[in-house]
Amino acid sequence: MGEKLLLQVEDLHTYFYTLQGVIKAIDGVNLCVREGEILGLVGESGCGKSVTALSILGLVPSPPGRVEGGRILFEGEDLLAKTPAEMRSIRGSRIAMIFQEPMSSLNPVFRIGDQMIEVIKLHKKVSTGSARIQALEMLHEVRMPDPEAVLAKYPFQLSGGMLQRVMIAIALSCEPSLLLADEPTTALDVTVQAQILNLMKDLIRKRNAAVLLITHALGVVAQTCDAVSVMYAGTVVESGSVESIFRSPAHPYTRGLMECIPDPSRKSDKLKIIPGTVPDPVNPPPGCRFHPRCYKATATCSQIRPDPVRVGPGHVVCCHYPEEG
Amino acid sequence: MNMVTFVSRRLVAMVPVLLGVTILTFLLSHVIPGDPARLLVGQKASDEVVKRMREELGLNDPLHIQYWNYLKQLLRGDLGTSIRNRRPVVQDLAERFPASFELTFVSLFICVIIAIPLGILTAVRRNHVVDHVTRVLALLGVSTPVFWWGLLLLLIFYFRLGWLPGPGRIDLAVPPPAGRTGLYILDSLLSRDWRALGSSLRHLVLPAFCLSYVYLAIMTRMIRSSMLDVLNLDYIRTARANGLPERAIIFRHALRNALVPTVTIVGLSFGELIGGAILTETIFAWPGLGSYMVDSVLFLDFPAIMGCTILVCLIYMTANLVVDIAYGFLDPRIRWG
Ligand SMILES: Nc1ncnc2c1ncn2[C@@H]1O[C@H](COP(=O)(O)OP(=O)(O)OP(=O)(O)O)[C@@H](O)[C@H]1O
Ligand SMILES: [Mg+2]
Repeated sequence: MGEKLLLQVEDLHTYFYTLQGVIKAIDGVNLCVREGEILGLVGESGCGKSVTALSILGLVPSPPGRVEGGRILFEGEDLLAKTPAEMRSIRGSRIAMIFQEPMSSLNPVFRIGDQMIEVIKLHKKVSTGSARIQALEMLHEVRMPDPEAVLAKYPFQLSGGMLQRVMIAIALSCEPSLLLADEPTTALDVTVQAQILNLMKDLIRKRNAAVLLITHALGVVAQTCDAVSVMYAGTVVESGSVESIFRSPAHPYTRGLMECIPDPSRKSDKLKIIPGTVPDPVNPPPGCRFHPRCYKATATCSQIRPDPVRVGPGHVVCCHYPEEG
Repeated sequence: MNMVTFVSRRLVAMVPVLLGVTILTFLLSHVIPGDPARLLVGQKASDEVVKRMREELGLNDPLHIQYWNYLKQLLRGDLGTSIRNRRPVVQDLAERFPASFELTFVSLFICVIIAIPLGILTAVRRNHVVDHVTRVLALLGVSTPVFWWGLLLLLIFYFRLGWLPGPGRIDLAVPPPAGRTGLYILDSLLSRDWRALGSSLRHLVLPAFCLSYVYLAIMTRMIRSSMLDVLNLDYIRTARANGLPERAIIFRHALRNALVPTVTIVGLSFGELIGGAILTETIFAWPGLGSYMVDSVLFLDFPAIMGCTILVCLIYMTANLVVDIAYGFLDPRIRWG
């Protein structure tokens, strides 16, 4: 794992202009992904994880969405300054993405092979024959049984786990240096989840590619990731290496998330929850977004938005009163 | 499941439906007020003649025997004799059907080749000028009765400007093309009868335009909305995330899926129009099934009405079958499911 920065998202703002008002889905997100690193992006549903990934790829549905500010530096180039054609040539080749629902993520009326070959031909400018060979190799790499037969199948003839393998095969077929994986295993059953995660990790390590792994399962982060960024209501509240965040979570929200993981050794405990609900994205609370739910909130928290502070090597938190130890 | 099994299964499923229709048309002929025998021999015939006619028609047999005989007659392809013109109904239908088929086919063809690009364009450029203009035109098409358009078109292009011929399938001075299909365009092309071709094409313009306008409106809106639905689906997002150009996304990935509901509309419209283009056929004196049916109804010509009903039903079912086969080609889930 190099120390070189691959992706740097600075003060990103993505808004949705709806009839209910302006939804500030992303309101000042900062992220760093180093080369070859697996960064976990965690947070409750609706905090803006998917929109962050879509903003990076330039795929925010517009209207109603728009990236309103910030910088997205990828391999030193600002993606927000690219033309649509330039972005198209980056998508699927230098940055690839896989999604949560493998069942609906492939076109139902085309064969798996045709959909793979289409992408390979597009980015690698090769003949159909050699694209087909590469597709077969990729299916082999994702440990697909009988790749030759799979090429001729339609998506509805494969299971969810198999389809997610196909999605990974397509995503990695053009050797991206960054893979955006938006809850790639949430829709799969538990045994398949672990297989897919391990497979993804293996293939990524082999290629020295980086991953932005979106999930709301901290267990997945602990097993798979090198670093983690915690999102809350459109902002990143804490980021650092997996060890330091799991050992000493500094943001009360992160701490709350960790306590929500059920501990099997204490069976009688009721499931812990963070009190309150996610704030309304149209009228977010002033100051720290988390203060209405925070047990240590003060008047400062409700007025001033906390700046990032460093609490350890590579460990940054946005809180006026970070937890210690 | 392969295509042959699929089609043959559907064909078998058509049999009970057809039987049901024959029962209905048969009963229909028995609930009509008045005596078919009297209708057939005319008002001035003596009672003796009517009685002999009743015998001859088997009208004194029990109902199920009569139905059985009717069915046997149907299976021989005999639809009875028209009361109005004393000709076999089959012969009338064989003359009328090609006229309706030609008009319907050309109308729907015009429809499809305009509606598909227009539907895509208005979906992709939604709320731009084209979209608004199409919306207004579509509204006009759906809300204005077809006979109004027909009369307007005749008034302008036939009476006032004289650019296009009026009623009929072909100029009176031009002999219809030789050929056995009865489709004037096809026949004249096959027999290289350019005069007949020109004349029948010119006669087709107004009624075809009139008929296609209403369906064009519906179809364009339909393609637009199914296109918009499809463009919001996950696999389109995947295609974008894979860097595919917009062209490929719209024409390859979205269109094929969006065409499925369109095929339904085209197929059903075909079934509907072939016997149901009554107003258009009447206004343009088009000798098709629709106008034949109207005339038969006005004359209480029951053998003709029943023949038409069965034929239209058959066409409708065939159109449905073709739609299902087309589904199978467009969507593998149906083919294999
Ligand atoms: N197309 C859209 N139109 C309007 N609002 C949107 C749209 N897409 C996302 N949003 C809003 O952006 C916010 C963040 O959504 P996002 O999908 O990024 O959440 P998420 O963190 O990925 O949640 P989940 O874990 O449920 O996937 C939500 O409040 C959502 O309402
Ligand atoms: Mg999401």
